[in-house]
Amino acid sequence: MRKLFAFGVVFALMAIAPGLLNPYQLSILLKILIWGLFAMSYDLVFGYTGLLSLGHSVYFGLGAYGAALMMLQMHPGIAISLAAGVLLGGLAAALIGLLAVRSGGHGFIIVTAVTALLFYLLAQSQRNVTGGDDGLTLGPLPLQIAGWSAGCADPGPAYLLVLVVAGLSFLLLYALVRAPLGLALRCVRENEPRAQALGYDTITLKWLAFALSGGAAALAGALYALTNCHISTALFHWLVSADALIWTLFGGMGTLVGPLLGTGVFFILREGLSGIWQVGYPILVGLTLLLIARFFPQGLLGIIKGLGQTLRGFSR
Amino acid sequence: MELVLFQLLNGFVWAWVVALMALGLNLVYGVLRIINVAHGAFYMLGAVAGWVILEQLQGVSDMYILNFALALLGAPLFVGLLGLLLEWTVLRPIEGQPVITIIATFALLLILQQGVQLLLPGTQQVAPPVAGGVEIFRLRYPVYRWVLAGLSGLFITFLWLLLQKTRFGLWSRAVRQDPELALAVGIPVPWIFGLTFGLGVALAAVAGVLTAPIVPVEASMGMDILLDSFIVVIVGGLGSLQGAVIAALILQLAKGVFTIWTAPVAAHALALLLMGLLLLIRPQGLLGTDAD
Amino acid sequence: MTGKEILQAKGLVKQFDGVRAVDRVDFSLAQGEICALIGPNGAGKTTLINLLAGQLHPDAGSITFAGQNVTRWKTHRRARLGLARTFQIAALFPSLTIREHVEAALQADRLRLHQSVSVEQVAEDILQLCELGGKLELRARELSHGDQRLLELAMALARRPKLLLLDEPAAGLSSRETDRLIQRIAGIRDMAILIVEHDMNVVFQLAQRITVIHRGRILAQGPPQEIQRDPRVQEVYLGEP
Repeated sequence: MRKLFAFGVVFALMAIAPGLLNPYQLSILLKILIWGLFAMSYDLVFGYTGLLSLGHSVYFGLGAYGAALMMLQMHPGIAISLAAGVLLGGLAAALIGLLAVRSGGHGFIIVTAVTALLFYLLAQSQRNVTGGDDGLTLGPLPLQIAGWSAGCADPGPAYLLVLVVAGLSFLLLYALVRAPLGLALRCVRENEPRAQALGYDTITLKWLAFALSGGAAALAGALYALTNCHISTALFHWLVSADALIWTLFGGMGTLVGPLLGTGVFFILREGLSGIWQVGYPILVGLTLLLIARFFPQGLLGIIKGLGQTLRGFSR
Repeated sequence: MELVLFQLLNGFVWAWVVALMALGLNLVYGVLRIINVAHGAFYMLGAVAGWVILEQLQGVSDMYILNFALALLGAPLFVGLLGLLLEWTVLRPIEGQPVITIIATFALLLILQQGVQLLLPGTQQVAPPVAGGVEIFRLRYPVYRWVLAGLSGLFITFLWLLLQKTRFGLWSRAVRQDPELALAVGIPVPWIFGLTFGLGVALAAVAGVLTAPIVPVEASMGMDILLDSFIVVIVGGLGSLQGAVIAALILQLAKGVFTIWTAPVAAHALALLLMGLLLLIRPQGLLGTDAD
Repeated sequence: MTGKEILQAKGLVKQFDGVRAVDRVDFSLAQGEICALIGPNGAGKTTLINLLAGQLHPDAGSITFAGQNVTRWKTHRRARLGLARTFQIAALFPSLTIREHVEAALQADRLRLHQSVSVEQVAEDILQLCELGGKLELRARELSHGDQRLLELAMALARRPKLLLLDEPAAGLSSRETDRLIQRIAGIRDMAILIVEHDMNVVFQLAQRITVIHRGRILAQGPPQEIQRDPRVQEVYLGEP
């Protein structure tokens, strides 16, 4: 109940953000929401199930292209375009997952990394469909709220759309990890042979997590395509998957909120550095990762919780 | 006809480079149980270090072939020592946590690649140590590419001998089987870990120096070959040296053959699909025994 | 064998690198029977347990459990049919709490959208038996070795299995903890139990029947008193009772 209340407060604060921020700041917040949703989808597979995927860019990319192509070719409503993206990415995840989850712990990492390369190359080679490096350009989102219409520089109502969809997705994912399925996934993560001996079909569970996570990643990709006005094949690159890994790890894996937090911190950091020391950003990310790996495997959320407990200890 | 032959020869030559890369990955995986995501960065570092050595030697010695030989020794030595140091300082403290370790190697990839980008932006060229071509079936094929395939094969054989015939090889096999038992019988396991990691990344550096004359030398050059080596390792069977060589030949020859009909990018994708198919048929890899 | 058989294994063979760890073993267990499997180190006891529970698959032979031929079945399917086991080295979910462990065991057969009953409601008796009721929110990695073993047992029991395989349940326990464990196991009703154990104290207090395995083969089988007197068994154990 307390957590639901906290969610409500944060959601309400974010809902009034368009009145407080300028369009540029709002567009960054919008990106944080989209990529945060991507990181949360990643957390389902990595944080909860213990599978390190380097191929989640595939599902984000397919979601983006599915929605964009649907929008450009058929001009349907926003909902149908989003659904097309989710369907394309989710189905691909379901199919690739069949092979990936059977290939063992270390094999999984490699298979997912190689699927990212495969889809990147395929997208590059089909320039007439994907636009290759140049990508596809979409017009502004056909959305108007109270006479306020979305533009490419000023997201406006697009932000509200993303906020609602991301908020609902968060609630859904949260319900999922709190349900018996979430516990089952954590059992797989902690000790797979033991989970099998208890009666869990761990292969099916891993596949399910992979497919669901792929669907959520595709939703993030579809939102990205519709609100960003431009997409390119770079979305398929495995380094995009690695971004999700970084944000999840930094924020705190297996928490859902952590990845969102991590995404926010890194986006603001990147924006801050963009004028000053752009080439240095990856180095900084690398060093941060090393520090996290060595000293704070629980991530930012773990540090905050630890501080909270220490403070409570003092006040007693 | 010439085109077919040219593509097949290219595939054959690259297969040995990828096999050399895969060997390094396999060695590190077999002993330390780490998927080294930074392997491509060490390959790049080898090429860059080779270029730096050649630049420094330019005024000192006129015998380019000798300079190149020095680069081929010096760059892997430098990268190997760096690997030893990194294993000791970065990977050792987080030993036994597979996921965290893989992430640390990813962090190394970011730092090394971007570090080189900062210090040496742009693209460098390295001249081949031997010029000219050999004519077969009316096709002139660069002599250096033959040398490249031969040297890669030589390094692979050298490593195989090292693992089969020396005390280091014996110890490393013991550690691979059971690290705790190895420690109990007096094998210096920490040293084996460090040396293996150093040796593994030195092999990547060898591949980097060797390919420097036929590709642009730049910070991001290790990205594509990394994933090719990944798939070769897994299709060959994790931990299997021979399997990796066979898988590398299949991948690169397929890539060459497909290039006859379609653009290189699409050919690469098709070759990867073929590897995926092989993996579907044999999930444990061509010559693999343990699936994990 | 008398009574209805819950488990029947025929001609089981398992080889590792050409060595037969289990060599043509016939073994069966009646409903509700408590049997102990003993034998010197490397005799093939754990291999046999792994074959029965499905962690390993036999090279030859067949296994029938609860009326089904489960020889090629995977572990989780056998578990759902009513086979539970514990592991020699406590195999738990380190960062999960005791409550979550028991919950995980309770829900393993069928995942529902929502878990409506609490662990206390469903598994009160088991928690009491294993003395874990007051520690529900502790994580597995925070438990003492003895409590970890009890949690193993509680997880297996929570599934209300037809057959329980205990792989060295007393390993690493003090003699007082072992006595407690014997009481716990003696208190279990309505299931067949197969215990692999080195501690003869445990074996003779619990088992109605003892099977001795040596070099992958069954050496002797019978009631405890008979086994105790068997000269072949005494020879294998070199004077141990």
